[in-house]
Amino acid sequence: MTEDILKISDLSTRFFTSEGQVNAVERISLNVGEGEVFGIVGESGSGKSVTALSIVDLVESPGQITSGSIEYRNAELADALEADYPDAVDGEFVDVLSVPESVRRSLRGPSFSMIFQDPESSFNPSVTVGEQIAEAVEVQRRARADPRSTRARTQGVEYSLSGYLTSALLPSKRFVTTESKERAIELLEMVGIPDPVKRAEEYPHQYSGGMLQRAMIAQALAGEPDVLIADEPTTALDVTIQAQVLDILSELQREVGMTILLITHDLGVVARMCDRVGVMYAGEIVEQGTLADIFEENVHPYTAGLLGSVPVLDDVGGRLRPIEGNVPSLLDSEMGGGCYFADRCPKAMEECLRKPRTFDGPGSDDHVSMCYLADHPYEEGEALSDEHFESTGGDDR
Amino acid sequence: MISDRVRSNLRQSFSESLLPKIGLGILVVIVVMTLFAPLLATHDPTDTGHFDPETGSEYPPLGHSYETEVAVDGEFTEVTIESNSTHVLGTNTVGQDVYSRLIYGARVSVIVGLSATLLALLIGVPIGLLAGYYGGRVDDGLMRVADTMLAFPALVLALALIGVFGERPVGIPDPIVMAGFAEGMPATIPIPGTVTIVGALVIWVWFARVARGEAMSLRNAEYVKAARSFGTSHAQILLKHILPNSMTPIIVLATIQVAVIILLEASLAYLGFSGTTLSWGYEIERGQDYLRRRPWVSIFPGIGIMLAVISVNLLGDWFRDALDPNVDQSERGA
Amino acid sequence: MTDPLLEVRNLRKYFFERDSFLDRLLGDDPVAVKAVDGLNFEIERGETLGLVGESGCGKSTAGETVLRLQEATEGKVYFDGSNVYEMDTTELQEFRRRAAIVFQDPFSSLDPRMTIGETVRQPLDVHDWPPGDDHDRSKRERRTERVRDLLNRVGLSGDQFDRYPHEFSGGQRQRIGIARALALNPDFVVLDEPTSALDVSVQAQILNLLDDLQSEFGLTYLLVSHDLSVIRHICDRVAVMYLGEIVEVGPSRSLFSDPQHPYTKALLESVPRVDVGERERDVDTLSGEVPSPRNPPTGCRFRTRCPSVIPPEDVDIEQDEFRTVQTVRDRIRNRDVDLSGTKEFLETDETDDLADRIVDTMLDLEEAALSEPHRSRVREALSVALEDEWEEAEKSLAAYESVCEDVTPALQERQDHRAACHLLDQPAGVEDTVTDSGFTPRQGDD
Repeated sequence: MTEDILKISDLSTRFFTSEGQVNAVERISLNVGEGEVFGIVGESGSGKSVTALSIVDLVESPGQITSGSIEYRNAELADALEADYPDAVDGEFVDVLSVPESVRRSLRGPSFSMIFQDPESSFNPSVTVGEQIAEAVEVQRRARADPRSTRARTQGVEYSLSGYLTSALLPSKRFVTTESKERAIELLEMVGIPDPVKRAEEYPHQYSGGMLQRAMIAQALAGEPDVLIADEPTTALDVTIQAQVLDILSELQREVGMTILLITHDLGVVARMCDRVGVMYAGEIVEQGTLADIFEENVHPYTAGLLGSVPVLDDVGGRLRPIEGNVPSLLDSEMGGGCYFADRCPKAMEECLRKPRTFDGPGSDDHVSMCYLADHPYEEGEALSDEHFESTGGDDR
Repeated sequence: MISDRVRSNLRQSFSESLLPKIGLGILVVIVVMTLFAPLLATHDPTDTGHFDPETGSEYPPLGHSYETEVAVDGEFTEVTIESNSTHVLGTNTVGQDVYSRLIYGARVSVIVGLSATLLALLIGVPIGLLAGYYGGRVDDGLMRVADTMLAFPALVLALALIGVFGERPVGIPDPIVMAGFAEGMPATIPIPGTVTIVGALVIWVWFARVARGEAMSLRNAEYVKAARSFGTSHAQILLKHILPNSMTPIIVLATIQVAVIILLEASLAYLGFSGTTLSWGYEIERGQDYLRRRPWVSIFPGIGIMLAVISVNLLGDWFRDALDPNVDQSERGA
Repeated sequence: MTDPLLEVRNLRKYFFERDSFLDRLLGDDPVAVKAVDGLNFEIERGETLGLVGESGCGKSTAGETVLRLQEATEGKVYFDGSNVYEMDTTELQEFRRRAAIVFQDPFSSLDPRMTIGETVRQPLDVHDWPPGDDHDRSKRERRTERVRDLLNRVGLSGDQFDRYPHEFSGGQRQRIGIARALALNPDFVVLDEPTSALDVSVQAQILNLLDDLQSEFGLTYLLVSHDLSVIRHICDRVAVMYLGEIVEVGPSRSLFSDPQHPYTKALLESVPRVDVGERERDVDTLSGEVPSPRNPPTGCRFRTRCPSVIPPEDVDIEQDEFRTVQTVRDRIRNRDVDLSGTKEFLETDETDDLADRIVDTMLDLEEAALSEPHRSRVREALSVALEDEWEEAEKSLAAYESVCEDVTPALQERQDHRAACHLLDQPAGVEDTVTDSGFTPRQGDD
């Protein structure tokens, strides 16, 4: 087991909307080891994307991280920050939630980098792909090469007014140098774009979806990040293209030793990529462990339900075992005090009306689950009677 | 046709922002002026000759006075003209009551604005929907005509059309006067008929274009395909699916076009092509030579036009924000 | 054996671009996008046929064209023996009653301004259901009752009759769409990606529901999907589409266990398995992307990505080397060797040297080495190309012409499981079907 690079504990992110408070992420804890692929799997509305955004500090109003810590191991950074923010530093770890926003912002690129599901909206349509990647390279290079590098890191790069005007009038030109351009071409080649010299001169609309997704990965790699956060990176792609992109991510992980936090709804992608997995439901990580823990030793009925819902290629016939009901609303006012999954759970018991704590699972040392079944087996006698269930509509027996 | 969601969006954006309230407030005043003009007016707006009896000069608005030179016995003497309590906003160059004409002017603006927009809707929406839904040659033909119309500046086109049709005022009987509630007010009000038709001809293109765009995207909507899959006729699809679902942007556009028509009518009246003298635009023209000495003659109708246009535009913005199907106010920012 | 419920013969659907008034005025020729190009298949009664392929392969267009929601460019679709495109109004209306469709997007498939009751009742209104007169009750009452029954049947409460679509979740909306499709008791339902927009747990609910409805009402399904696992789960037979053509068709079991066509093999291999051993499984990913249907490759349309293109008999060359040569040939044919750019990049001016280095760079990118004599031939061709003698360059590599680019493969003439590939035995006379469409593949996609 490698050393952790990221330790998230008790992280909560809420959205304060006119409808009420939405608990998108609810006190989640997870550790990501250096060089591993950690998968977060869940259905829409489970809070998996908000978790990713919370880590890179891209949660936008009315959303807000309300509690918890995100500790990131970087000895150099810890040294630099120790004097100014002693509270945020613990050994080699820095709690990124306790440092000012400018420091957090400076971590985007060299520390954390994110790729999204929809590459089209991540590129400026009027600038060539090569220039946009070169720009990212140059921004990161300057941040590093600055003699006051720590300062630049902790206080963000300062821009003069004239610099601002130049970059506003000539977007990207300012950042594109011969070296950064060459690096951009290298990066494009690294993600398997054929003929990168020529493709670098093209505009985003000339790229197909799969190509653009690769280009976005290239851009994310510009800062040589420690942790790559990939939010549904292959969901919009065809299966043969998905295989190509997953290959590239695996290669990066193997060859550069990059840590990848992979967010997806697709259990097949999880199986192909991940060392360890967290299963999210209604804002919580309900079960967490190694791939084998989750696939073979799972105790949480939601994990089992998710696995039972997937039609499998190699195994024919038989009915799918879907989870009844629908994904719950995350409105604070509508969430009960017990286990959030109880009203859809085939094994709900009386005690499920009280919130379960995190129990150790039967699998590896890392295996934990927020379910009483991890503590003691299911007993019919304690089954929760039907009147506790609200009508969930659309269930299918 | 207006769903609960739209209604709640309308209510919410109304309560959140001041501008719709201002717009609606002004509009209510203008509509009241339109409806009850004979009761609100103090004089027959067409009645001339309300001058200062001694000097034959126009009355200034209440509380104001001005000095003018009058020839008395072949000699110019400077006299001060005081306001007259029956003419609240003074009188104009032919001695008509400015206040009463302001009230009646609203009538012309509102009626022309609404009827021309309605007419344009009736012409433009069906044409646009058909063009967009069927596409192909129908679309090609109709849209080339529309492009051609758009290529002319509205005012030039309007003047040309008036040149062809001539100015034809239409007398509309006034129910309040006919019922005997307002003695001494004109029994009919002249509405510039040509201007109404010309206005509609100038703006229908916009409705056609918006309706076409909506129909083009809706004809490929899956619910339209589903309707076709079980044999719904094209006419039914147009009426039941395409028309109701294209109404939102059309309503927003219609609101804004009312303001366009009000301005167009004022411009034509100012140029003297309206066919009626009872119009804000005409009043501005009438006062412009005396702007320095007797500004009230032009200023009050000018304010009338400004407020009418602003209020309609504010309302249009409100509708657009509230009716945008992509913005559910309750989910905003979530 | 009874006649199949649906028979599709040589179905083609082309969309024409640059076909507006202005384009005609400027004398531009319309460009045909060959979305569906010669489909042949049949569906037996009570059977589920899966139509699977990547995005842009024409599978959805095929589904809609079969239902005559789009007019076919060519071909015939027989439904219960009569050609759908030659039906008169009465026959067509009856066909519309018997054939229904369920769409992918649960959001855009329901009119947002209609209550779900109105939505489901719509087909009944259009067909003036129920037929005949029942003096006891008005038609209106009976329709309302039918709508409630349908909503209950698909797992919704009949009381939700008066609610609007936005009050429902994606899965529930999909159920409403299914209820609408079933309203008139159809025999045949096209399912166009019915679960692609849904979460897996909800997807499983819908798949089970479709399964139940099929056995309950004896429905025949055409399932259009990109998801091989879904196809595998509910289809009896499967047709694999690539660029508007069916490359393989056969019973689900044998197609999935013993795929014949290289494309089917690659497709199946690409699907990540939900299994702990998945990380160790070797996947030969397919290179490149689907070429544009505006200008599909000559011969076998899959040849630009195929891992086993057949070299000419008289050329002795390894498969990956052969693919490299093919890529170079395609690019020369497209005049798609960016000489000035490469020149700049390599910072050299000497043409002779340049050809060498371009070859090196290209080979480097293809991650393939070329052995002699192929290397010198390619180098030769490129240096000719550098002199702007493109046609000459093309000719110099003509010896590498493959049967895959000359001859369009046809589906084998066998009973059930058939594939269209030159590696397999081909029906006689297939040589005559050479197409000549002046192929230019998407630039640089290999």
